[in-house]
Amino acid sequence: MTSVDLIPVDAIIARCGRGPEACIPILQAIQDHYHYLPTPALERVCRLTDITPAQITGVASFYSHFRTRPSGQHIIRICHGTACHVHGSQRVQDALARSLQIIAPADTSPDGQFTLERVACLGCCTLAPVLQIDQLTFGHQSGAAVPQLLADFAELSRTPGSPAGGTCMNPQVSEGSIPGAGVEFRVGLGSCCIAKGSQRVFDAVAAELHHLGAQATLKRVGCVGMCYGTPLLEVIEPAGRRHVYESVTIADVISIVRRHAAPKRLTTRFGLWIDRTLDRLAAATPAVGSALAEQSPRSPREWQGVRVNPPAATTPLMLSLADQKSEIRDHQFLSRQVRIATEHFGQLDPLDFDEYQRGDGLDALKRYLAVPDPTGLIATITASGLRGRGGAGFPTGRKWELVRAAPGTVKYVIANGDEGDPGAFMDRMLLESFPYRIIEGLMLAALAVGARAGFFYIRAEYPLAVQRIAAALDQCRQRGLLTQAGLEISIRQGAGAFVCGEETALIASLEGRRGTPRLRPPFPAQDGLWHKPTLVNNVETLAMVPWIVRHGPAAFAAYGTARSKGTKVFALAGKVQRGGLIEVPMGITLRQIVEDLGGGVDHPEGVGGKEPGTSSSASAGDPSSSASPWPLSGGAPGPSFKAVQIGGPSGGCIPAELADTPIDFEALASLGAIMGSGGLVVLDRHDCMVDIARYFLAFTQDQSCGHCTFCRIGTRRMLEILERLCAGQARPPELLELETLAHQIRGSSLCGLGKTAPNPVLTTLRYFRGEYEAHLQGRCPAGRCKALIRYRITDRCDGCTLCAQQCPDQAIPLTPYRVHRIDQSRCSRCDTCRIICPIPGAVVVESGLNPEDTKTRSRQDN
Amino acid sequence: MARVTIDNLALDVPDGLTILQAAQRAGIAIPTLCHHPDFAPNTSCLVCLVNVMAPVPAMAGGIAPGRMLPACATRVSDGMVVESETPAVHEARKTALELLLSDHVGDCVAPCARTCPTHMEIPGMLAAIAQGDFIRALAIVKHDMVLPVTLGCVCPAPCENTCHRAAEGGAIMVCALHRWVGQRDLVTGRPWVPPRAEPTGRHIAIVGAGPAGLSAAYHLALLGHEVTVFDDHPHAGGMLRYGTSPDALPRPVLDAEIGVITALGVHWQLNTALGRDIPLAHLQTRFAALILAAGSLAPSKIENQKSEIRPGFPVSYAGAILHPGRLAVRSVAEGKRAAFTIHHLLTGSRPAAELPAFLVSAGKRNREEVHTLMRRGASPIARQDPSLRTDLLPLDAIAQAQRCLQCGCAKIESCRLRRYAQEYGARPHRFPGAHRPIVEIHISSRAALSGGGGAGLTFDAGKCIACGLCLQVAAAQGEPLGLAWRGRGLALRPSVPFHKPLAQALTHSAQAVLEICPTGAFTAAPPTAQP
Ligand SMILES: Cc1cc2nc3c(=O)[nH]c(=O)nc-3n(C[C@H](O)[C@H](O)[C@H](O)COP(=O)(O)O)c2cc1C
Ligand code: SF4
Ligand code: SF4
Ligand code: FES
Ligand code: FES
Ligand code: FES
Repeated sequence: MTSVDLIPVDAIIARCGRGPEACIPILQAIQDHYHYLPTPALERVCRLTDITPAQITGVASFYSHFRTRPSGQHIIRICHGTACHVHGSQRVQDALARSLQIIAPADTSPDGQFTLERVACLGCCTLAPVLQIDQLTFGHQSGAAVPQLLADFAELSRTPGSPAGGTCMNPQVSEGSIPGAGVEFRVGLGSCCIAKGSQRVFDAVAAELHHLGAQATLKRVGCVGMCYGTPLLEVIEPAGRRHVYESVTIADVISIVRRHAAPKRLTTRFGLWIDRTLDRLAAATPAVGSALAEQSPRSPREWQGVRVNPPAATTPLMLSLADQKSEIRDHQFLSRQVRIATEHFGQLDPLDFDEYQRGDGLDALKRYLAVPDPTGLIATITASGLRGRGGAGFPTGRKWELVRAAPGTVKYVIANGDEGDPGAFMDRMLLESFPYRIIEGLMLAALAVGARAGFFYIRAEYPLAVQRIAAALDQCRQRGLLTQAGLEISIRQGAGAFVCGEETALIASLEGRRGTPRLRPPFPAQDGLWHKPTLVNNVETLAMVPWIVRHGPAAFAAYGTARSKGTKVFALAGKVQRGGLIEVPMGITLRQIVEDLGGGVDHPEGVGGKEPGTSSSASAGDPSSSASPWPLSGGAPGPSFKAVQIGGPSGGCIPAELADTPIDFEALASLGAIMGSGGLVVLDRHDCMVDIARYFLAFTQDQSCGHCTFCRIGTRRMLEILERLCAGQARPPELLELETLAHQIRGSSLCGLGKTAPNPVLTTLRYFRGEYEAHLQGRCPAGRCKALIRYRITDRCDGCTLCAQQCPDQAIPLTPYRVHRIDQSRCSRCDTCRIICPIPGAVVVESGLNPEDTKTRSRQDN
Repeated sequence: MARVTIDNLALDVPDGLTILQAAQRAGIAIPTLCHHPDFAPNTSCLVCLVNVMAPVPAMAGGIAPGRMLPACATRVSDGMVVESETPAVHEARKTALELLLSDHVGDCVAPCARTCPTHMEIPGMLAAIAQGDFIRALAIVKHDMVLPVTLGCVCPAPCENTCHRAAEGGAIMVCALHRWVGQRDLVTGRPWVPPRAEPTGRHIAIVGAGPAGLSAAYHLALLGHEVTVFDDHPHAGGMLRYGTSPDALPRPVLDAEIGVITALGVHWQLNTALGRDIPLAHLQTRFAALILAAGSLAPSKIENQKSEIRPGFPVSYAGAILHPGRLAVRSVAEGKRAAFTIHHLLTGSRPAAELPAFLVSAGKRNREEVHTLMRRGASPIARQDPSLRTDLLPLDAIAQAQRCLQCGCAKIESCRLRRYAQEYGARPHRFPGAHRPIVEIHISSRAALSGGGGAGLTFDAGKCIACGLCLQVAAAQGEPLGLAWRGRGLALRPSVPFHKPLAQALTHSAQAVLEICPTGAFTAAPPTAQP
């Protein structure tokens, strides 16, 4: 410890400041430098600043990003968000821990190479399961793919920047658009898209344009929302004709670019013609388009005959609007949407100030800068009926009025970009794609309430959002916009605490304290940041404001229901064909969202033959024999879903039968769920509702600040009951206890986190009680709870030995050309054999408790 | 001024008061754990919940009608209606207490003292022996237990079965040590007779001079009553005399210990059988109360004579009449309980209860936990071979007693968690299978407590309810290092910054921290404790 070089600490303090509010930025900088928080460095901070030992100890141990032990060379962050959870992130984590020989409670491999960390959501939910190794994001992972993943990573770290497998990306974000004339190429560059390789597509287009010396514009745009189809390359011909290419690979780029961009020099043109002809001949196909389809390396990669991480939904390559199927599909996805917060989606370069201003951007702000009229502005917002999009739906105009009316001259505005809900990524996308719009909204709010200082509080897991807001703020500053408004706006980053999205916790965090919420009232509007009246608004709420000002409140109120006006942005993910970011008018039904926009579940029965179906011979596991009110019990064919999880850990699961409920704050609340921030995770018949409830309770209890009894201890006790249910060890009275306790926690917790934590349990108990009862009897009808399922190889096995080779537990003896058998005592239910087996129905999952197993298990527990 | 209604009582109180303050003015007691009037409310324990109705103030979604809110931090507003003593509120408070208890690892009373039927204060006796204060040790033993040497000879020592120290070096030799303490007293030839209370002028008859009768006689005499014991045998002692071998229980020991009872002024009427020599009716006219502890009298015989008992005449039963077992210590305990019952019936006053009505237990301690607890100063040596127990040397006795972990809670009298748990009928085991917090102990021998005889401070994280008062008081007293929160969620506990010793954290506020902590998390360290 004494060997720690403390000189950098002084520089960090000089940079971050000496007040108590500098605590979190200082710790972040120290961790950036040392990769953990060395105690001598913290002691030095206390000597040189106003930060006390009690404060720094409390803060450093509160936020989960701070490490007190040195980490390995590389950090692997495995997403355990909702979408990733339902796509099996725990299996990926187990497989990684196994192959890196990391045994809990250790988190670092014995060779010091890798440290495993869990994160709540990486905001790339449509690529689930997702993980990050250092700065690289990998999507569509599985336990079986771990060796390949580590090999890919090793290769990538040897040759940085080299194009790699289809699901890895390099986060180096391009400086900006490359202006030009003629054809315009647009590439969506949100985090999600980048994780799926859009940046490399962008670079490849740039390289090819350069190579051709073509006259063309290459433009970086924000998220288009069609996350299911990224990387997206849009081509706009000078005549205005648009072509959208989905799931583009590097190999596709050359052909697409050559197809649309005319090279200047004739020789190059001729050369290209020869290339094309040769291509065509080689592929023996008449059209360039199909030739591409054939060449595309999107077909699953072959490795030892094993399919490695194919994308969840393998979409047919779409080449242009001429492709009928995709056109219809995208039409369904896009046509029902109404763009207010995401206006001009896919058209704007996120950071191009002039472009934003050229359109109608800043019109709203300029109007009120020219003629200040706070009351008029508030009246407009009030009349629009806008309600907060951060979860609770408090009327925004009313909140502004309260802050304006609060006594005092010093007031603050805060844009809440902490979006910690696992499975939600709307705010990330808005911050990344429309930074100017949100800044405009925040400035309008400041004008309305009379604040002179504003803050963005953004989750640290969203580096690109931080980067873009910072760059956009710089632009506004340079153009004198902030001075003109008499406003200073700065950015603070979270440090890994979901509860900091709660406004009083957020304020505590901004003040440099532990993110502990406090009792409200008093509300921040009366007593907020540094005890001054403070307006806290969600990013999406603010993104709506400029539109409302420009179009008038009536235009906004024209959308929606009686009490919920306008539109809502949702992150659609989970078991759905077209996951992505959507903005829909309030009042649309959940079914319309899932089935019409989302195209239903992503693996409809029978497609691909890779269903982890329960075996029909196992009567105990046959869902049709269970009492649960399953919409899909019996395995009805067709793209239907079981439930929709809305509102994340504060929300609930709404069963498919009730999916015709309109999206409306009150309607959702009456079902026991909440609108929440807008995560929509679609669940299918392979998702166990008890497991989902357990998953959310594990999340909330992990994120509880620990301040109040009901949340700190109560959520843990609920989780323990749910864990026993999933392990088949719960006794019947515990179900009642679970429900009683849930109501007590809901009624008595201090803050919103605790008050809403029981919702996932209460809704699943309400709609899927049969599944809970099945678990009491030792059955998991969905075949999900590890302790209650068995893997079995049926007679369909042709003895290919793949499973035996890949089983990490050596639970399958190698018997070539004969039916394989699984040794249940060794099987860890990692799912590898089922994924690897090439024969449909050869590996089945059976539900029902193995009495042998429970006996050994409970003995081990004692 | 605001008009507030608390439990149908209308009050006019100044604005800005909390509900708790308003209730206190009206004499309505609301339980609090994490609140101290000198500091800003922590609002963490939530045992002060009240149901607040109307009005809905400035922001809807703030106070909806009928919301459970902490009384310590919620300010009154005009027209507010508050419920404090309703079943729903009690249920909420009780749940808060049950949740706190489910995360609480500790023994209110040491398991040995809880298990021993006489509930003798074993850790206290052991501490006295450990300090070489054998007189105090004897007083502690004799306070709760008649015949300590006799029982030391015949008792199978159930107390030792639950001793936490069993996990490391064997259980404490509790039985041998109380015997040793008593023996040391007997060999003087003039055994110590505990002081009697003021005479009450009541005369009580006891039928049966076995362990139950002797015990009842002893405790009634100590409480100031006149006592006569009837037995049909020629000598007192019952099964102790007629059912044991003189090898196991040397008769001079028994005689000497019965001598102590005689010295307390108890009269013996031996060779007298109930029913034959003396009818029940007769006893009822001569005595103020009756204890039937005639173990060998078959219960049916008593049953026959029961009809003769005048309605309302104070009678109590003890010993083998109640249970057919042969455990002498159990009979002794019942004799004591019968004595207390009669005392209560006659005088209306209750002798100090042997055990509080509400207790938590730490359950079985694993070896690691025992090692942690040993850091409070227990000697690491092992249990001595029991065959040597008759001739323990004083130094051996001291060394053995020093092995004691002092498991009981030093704050059992003042702990507010225990008090409210008792008051609200909280069930400590409502949540079976609850995760057990890691037991963590910090000791500071230098942070001297005023009046603590140089004793230090112990912090036992297993008993902390994370109320935050210790952090507040340390900060208010200007401690340079002070205490800090560490962790979040269930792991949340106070800690010393940078893992420094407790003594550095609390240079001058140790006493204040000890006093403000509502539970046994901060206690005075045993005198032997090492930091
Ligand atoms: C546990 C918890 C987490 C929250 N997380 C967020 C969040 O990530 N983003 C957000 O805008 N609001 C969040 N909120 C809601 C905020 O407290 C606050 O209501 C919101 O930022 C107000 O903005 P609005 O009126 O525009 O909705 C959260 C609330 C709770 C109780
Ligand atoms: S260690 Fe001491 S206090 Fe604890 S059970 Fe054993 S004898 Fe009793
Ligand atoms: S140790 Fe501190 S936080 Fe814990 S109960 Fe005692 S005073 Fe409260
Ligand atoms: S990226 Fe994993 S759930 Fe969002
Ligand atoms: S190899 Fe036969 S089922 Fe897997
Ligand atoms: S005393 Fe009010 S919350 Fe603890």
